[in-house]
Amino acid sequence: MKYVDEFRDPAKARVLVHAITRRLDGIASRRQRPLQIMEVCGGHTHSIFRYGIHRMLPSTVEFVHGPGCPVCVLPMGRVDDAIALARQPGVIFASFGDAMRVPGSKHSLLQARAHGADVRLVYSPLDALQLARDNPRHQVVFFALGFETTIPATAMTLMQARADGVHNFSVFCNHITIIPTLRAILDEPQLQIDGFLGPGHVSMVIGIRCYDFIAREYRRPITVAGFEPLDVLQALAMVIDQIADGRCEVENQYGRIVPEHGNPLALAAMAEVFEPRENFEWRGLGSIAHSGVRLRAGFAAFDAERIFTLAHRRVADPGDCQCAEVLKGMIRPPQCRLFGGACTPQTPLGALMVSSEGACAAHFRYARHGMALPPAATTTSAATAT
Amino acid sequence: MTLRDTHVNMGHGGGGQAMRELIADVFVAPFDNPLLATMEDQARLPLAELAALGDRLAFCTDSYVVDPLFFPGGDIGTLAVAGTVNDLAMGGARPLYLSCAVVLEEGFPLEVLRRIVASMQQVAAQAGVQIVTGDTKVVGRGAADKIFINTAGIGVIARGIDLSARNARPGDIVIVSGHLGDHGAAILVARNQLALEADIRSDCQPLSGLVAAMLAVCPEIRCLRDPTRGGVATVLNEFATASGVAIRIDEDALPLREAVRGACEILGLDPLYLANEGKLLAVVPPAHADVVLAAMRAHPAGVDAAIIGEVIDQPAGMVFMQTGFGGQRVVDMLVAEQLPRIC
Amino acid sequence: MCLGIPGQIVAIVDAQRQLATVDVGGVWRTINVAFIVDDAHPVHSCLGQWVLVHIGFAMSRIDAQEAERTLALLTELGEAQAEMAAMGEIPEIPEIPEIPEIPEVTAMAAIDGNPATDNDRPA
Repeated sequence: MKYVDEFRDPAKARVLVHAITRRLDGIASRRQRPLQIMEVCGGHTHSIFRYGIHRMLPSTVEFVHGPGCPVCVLPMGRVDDAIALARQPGVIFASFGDAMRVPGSKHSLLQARAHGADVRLVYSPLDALQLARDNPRHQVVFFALGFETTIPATAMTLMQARADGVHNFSVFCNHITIIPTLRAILDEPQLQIDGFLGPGHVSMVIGIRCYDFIAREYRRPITVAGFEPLDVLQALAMVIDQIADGRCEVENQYGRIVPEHGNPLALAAMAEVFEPRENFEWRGLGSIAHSGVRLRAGFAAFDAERIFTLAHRRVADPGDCQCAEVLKGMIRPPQCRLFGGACTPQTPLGALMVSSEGACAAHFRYARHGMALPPAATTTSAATAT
Repeated sequence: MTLRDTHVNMGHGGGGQAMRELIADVFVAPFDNPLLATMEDQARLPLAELAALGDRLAFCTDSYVVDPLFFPGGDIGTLAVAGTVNDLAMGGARPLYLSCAVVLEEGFPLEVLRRIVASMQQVAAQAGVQIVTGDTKVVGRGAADKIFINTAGIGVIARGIDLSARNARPGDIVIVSGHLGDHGAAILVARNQLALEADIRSDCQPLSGLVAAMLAVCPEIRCLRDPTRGGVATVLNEFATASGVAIRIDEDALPLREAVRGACEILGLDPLYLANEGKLLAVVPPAHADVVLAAMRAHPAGVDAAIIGEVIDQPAGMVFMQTGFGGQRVVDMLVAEQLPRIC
Repeated sequence: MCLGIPGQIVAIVDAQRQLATVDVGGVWRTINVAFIVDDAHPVHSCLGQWVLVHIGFAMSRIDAQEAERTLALLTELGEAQAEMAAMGEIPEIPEIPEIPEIPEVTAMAAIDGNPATDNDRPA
């Protein structure tokens, strides 16, 4: 597959791992602890584990998994509200697959479906809008979540709904924005992040200049990264180079997709449909100012929160839950006292274990055994320099 | 006598004349074999004939509830016969006789039922099995989702054949009989919730002929299993756990059709967990791997067979994969059905 | 919200509603191209274009030159490493390093003060 296979080339991977190892060796003498690089985005967490990148790197660098998983940070109270919507008679509740298994205080959406709620899986908000057109006697509610990557799609869908006069369609908006999240992480006093891999697809919409404050105010380097394994390794090499050189810049490894100033059409659609909320609650991180968006007044007719009465209960995580600490990168998944015991992908207590690229689920699936795996077998792709 | 009804009604399950007419016309005639034609309440199978073929009877059952009923490459009928035939074949049995029990929803179109039965007969003929007994029930509208089919099957295992998930040994070679994930991907596309179009056909087919060809050149095959729900990952984990060994597979060696790969990439799915309905995984002693592979490739059901990995001794119970990228990762069992993701 | 995949636009379905068909490795889907269309790039110009597809929308045109540049950088890096190895200045590029045997690290062990790391290395 074009633009995919080339960025999974193992020979180039070896070149990058070699370069990274050498650069780290060069700075080893001035460091007491491994370099800690946070990958913000859940998609990067997934890539790291899926391709075994975490096993390819020397012990002088570690990934700290950031909170960039919009499903993982959805508060239980909002999940309960979603389920309440799904349970309304006459409602078809449309959701991405990612959110189906997230536990609310009693159930998940999937379990609610088993109890009779009409919950449908969709790939795109446009499909949810089509469901509304196809089912004029039902109210279709779309569970909108995601960062700025996804907000323009919801925006465009709502603009279409309004233009086409589709009156039985509404959106339950749980969209969040990345910059306040990054500030919350950077403001966390106990955190020791040396550099960041920036979210490639969010940046495709918002550009890279909005990260300037990270370099300027917080003096940390950030390299915006793509999601193929070579992208992740190359971005890692670039941010390590910055650290070794003593630079603090915003770099773009994903130039083939990410324009410096983002996508103006997408940004315009977002601005037309959405406005910032004063506060939005994040699971594990508490309330973060201006981190959520809601529908503007002009789209009130499509706002599920205005159409339906929702409980808006704040539901605390189970007492033992340490999702917050993992989300902030303060502990690793295996250090959570519930990890692998009470909390597993089959019996998830927190959202980090439910979402497929939540740090805990990824770690459990791909890395929990802790044991070394036997050395790589010699295959046809034997080691040769490119 | 041809049934004139067009849809199933409660009378067809009532045990009376209507039911007899349905059974005779819709099932007995197409399945066309002397045992079924007796219309007794049971099929009577001469033990001597069975005993001549081996020393153990293999017996299995499965129920089929697929949605949609028809999909590119097959339908619920194809699955109902191939699935049970394959469960027998994976034990090294020669499949012989099947039962077929259906639960029909009131209002189900008889034309559709005839198509399903025709598919069943086609696969049965291909596999050399006969459907010799059955049952029909009708439930009220809404009490069943169109049609549920259960098939049970018996076959005979020849002396000396010992296939078991417990048999894998370090050094053994793991072979797959063809492309992964075709059925799972075909169903996803056919359900149309995701509005994808792709030229992906289910691989649903009976594998008894392929297994016979493999055992003919290597009676010492250790394990055979068809990776249906849960996919290749789940079966390999079953082997590793039951045998107390580790299995290492090579991502680059996995046969995958381009369109199945494309569907997985768009939806964020892992092909290792997609269902296959016409493929098998074999664990084979290393000295015989090449010969078995050649026999598979010479058979129509195994032309794309490939060696995908090997059995090693540590860490016991674990399956891991050398990624095409040069890393390694653990391949776990499927926890819950994979859902398409956007993250 | 990160899952985006490159695909090629193979048909324009509805220029007015800005809908096109994208081909991702042999799988087709109707997508909305509103975000990559403007006066300089009308809908028809999308035909044949490679784009990043996310939840039914084309979010970015893939810059072929940038892609080549990224890969070329890595090729050059590899060549430079090979040259230096040949000159004896750096060791040959090894296989991915062997991971030494370590005992199984469990959550309990982590609490006891032996922090596990995701890289599965000794702390």
